[in-house]
Amino acid sequence: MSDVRREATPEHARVSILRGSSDGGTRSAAVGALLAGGTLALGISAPWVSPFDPLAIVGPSLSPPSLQHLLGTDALGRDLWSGIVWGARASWLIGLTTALMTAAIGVLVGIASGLRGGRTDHVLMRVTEFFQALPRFFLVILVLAMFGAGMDRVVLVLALTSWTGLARVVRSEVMSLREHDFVAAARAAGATELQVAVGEILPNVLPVVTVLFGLTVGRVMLIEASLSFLGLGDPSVVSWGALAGQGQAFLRSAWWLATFPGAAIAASVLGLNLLGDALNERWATGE
Amino acid sequence: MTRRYVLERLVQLIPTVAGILLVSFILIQAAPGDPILALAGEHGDEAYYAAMREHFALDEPIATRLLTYVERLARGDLGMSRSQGRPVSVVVWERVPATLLLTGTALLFSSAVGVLLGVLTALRRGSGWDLAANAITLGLYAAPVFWVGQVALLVFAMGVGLFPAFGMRDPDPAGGWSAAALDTLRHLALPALVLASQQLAGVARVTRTTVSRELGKDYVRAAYAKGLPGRIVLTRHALRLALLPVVTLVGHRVGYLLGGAVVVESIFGWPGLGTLLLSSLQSRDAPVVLGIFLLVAGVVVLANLVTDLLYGLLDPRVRYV
Repeated sequence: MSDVRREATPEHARVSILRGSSDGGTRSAAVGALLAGGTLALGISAPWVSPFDPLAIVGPSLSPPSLQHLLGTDALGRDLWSGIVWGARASWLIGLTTALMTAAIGVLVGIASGLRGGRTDHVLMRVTEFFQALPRFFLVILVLAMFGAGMDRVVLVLALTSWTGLARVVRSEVMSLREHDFVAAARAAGATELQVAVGEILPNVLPVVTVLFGLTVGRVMLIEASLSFLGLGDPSVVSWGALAGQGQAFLRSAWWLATFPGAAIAASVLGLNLLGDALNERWATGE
Repeated sequence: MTRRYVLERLVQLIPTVAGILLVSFILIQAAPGDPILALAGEHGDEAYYAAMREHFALDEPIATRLLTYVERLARGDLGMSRSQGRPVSVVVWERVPATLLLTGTALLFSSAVGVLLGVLTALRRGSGWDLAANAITLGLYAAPVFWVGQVALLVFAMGVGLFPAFGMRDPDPAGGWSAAALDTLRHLALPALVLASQQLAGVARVTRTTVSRELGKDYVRAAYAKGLPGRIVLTRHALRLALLPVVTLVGHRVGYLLGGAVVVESIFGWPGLGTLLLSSLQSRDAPVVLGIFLLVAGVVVLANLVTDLLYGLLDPRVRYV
């Protein structure tokens, strides 16, 4: 028995943190869609719903929320609501880009591992474990130290280190799928390995990939926000984390600066988690 | 659990550790421009540049560089910090106790309270308490740690004035040893709670799921049917299996916790590895950043190992022959 580690933490040990929350899932799905969809819509429609240029000085310094400035202004007199709206765009863009790359790698590794089995599986799972053991947050900071600041490298490092969970789940799905008759039928009809993977396996793992995709977007948003909060993001881009970081210095005098950007992140991630949870429950029970 | 399992698990450490060393080595080599500038910053003096060139063997062929890198690390030699002019290992090591105190407290607190909350809500599923706990843990699990920290500061430090907002101890604490300990504890409470919050939510949710699942199983019903009191069934039977996924969760999230500690330390001015990491990044002191990365990676690998061994020890179903 060579594959000790995999057995040491079998899939049954990996319990979803979100599972078991719902009432059949409909209500939490609706709330989730509202929260996540709301901030996503804000980001998409930023040029139209943002009253001011988020970087322009448009009001008095540190003015509390008012009709003029819905969420108040920062120390330079910039409108916080406009910043939040444009921050939605940045957060979602980074979350979606990273999660797409993550999903691509995870699906590729998971299908290759599950379908081929044997030596390929063994090697790929070792590689997966290695990436799982890398402390992501600290790796990003090391990369920033060596290569200088920039969002491109943050996205790249997060994508290259976030696919492991997805690959594991896809792999175990594929392992049970490949025993099914429809796969054998496709093989008997002369389908190549690639045709089986793309035509038969891929459509069947898409539900679970969708769920994990949503959760990954949320997780990436959180990490990116933390980095930007610490001032390690792109200074020319308005992001929720950066806004919250700038608010830190004015915690005593301007509570709104620190409160609203963090709430926007929490709302988006909560929405994505609720949505993923509800979809998961629905598909798992085959409704 | 057999000796063979332990041995194989140990052998598996080799490629992981080698991979971590290789990744960090490649990052140093691949830095744009002259690697010495990426490593030593632009404001170092010639003597420091020369020492760094020598330390990372930058004038040697790549194979020698790799060998030198690994050999020096094996001796615990992480080079010199430019901004502090002292060995990186010393600079990093000084900060370990503070971070250990913060993350250790958060780890213990989140595990204990998380399990307790999970068990209680599993036993009272559908009750008002369960629903409230569910909403709170869902929220905490989605909230960025800095936001939890900021809100906690606004409410408990600046609002109610219950806890100090900054640092690890008062500059000039009156009284003796016990007063100093109490002072540190007062400073520790808020950052540790904030750092624990997300982990606590995760542990509580997983525990609730697994405990409810175990409680529905035949062996639990059989234990009840035998006439065993509920407390015994819960602690001796159901909890033992239900806690396995919790062990995995806690053990495999040590890296997250340390990442969260960087943010929490920055918010609360906690003088640990996190604040050192950020100040080193600002002063372009790459050897310190590298040293902290390697230390954290080592801790994560070790935590994973301990988790897997513990799992093998706890789970009667895991037998390796």
